[in-house]
Amino acid sequence: MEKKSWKKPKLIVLFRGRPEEAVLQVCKG
Amino acid sequence: MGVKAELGATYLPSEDIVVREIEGELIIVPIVSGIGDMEDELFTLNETGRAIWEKLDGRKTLGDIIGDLSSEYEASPGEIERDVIGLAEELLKRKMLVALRKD
Repeated sequence: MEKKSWKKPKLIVLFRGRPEEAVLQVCKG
Repeated sequence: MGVKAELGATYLPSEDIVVREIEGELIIVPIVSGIGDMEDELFTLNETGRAIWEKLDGRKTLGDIIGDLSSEYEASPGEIERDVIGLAEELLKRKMLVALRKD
């Protein structure tokens, strides 16, 4: 099986702000 | 002073977070305060970060996980070990991960 390329694993901050803004940001039906 | 991750220890996701996959992207949502830096934050992981996360099941040690990844990815075991420990320590520091036991 061909090996995949390794990239340094990262924890990424997707959103920073107030909870109600964060909820909408997850969407952004 | 930092949190140390150990090769012989097993880890699993904390009960202080909720993880959901939305449209193929893993979203990590803290449900208690103090996990993000000062403000409320949502997190995700890049592809290799997610591969590690999905192996943190409370059964495999970090050493086992590094062994698995070494057979799946094109990188030296030393590089994978360094990066896996680095991510585990960041997740521990942010209380997203908890140590279960040591062998």
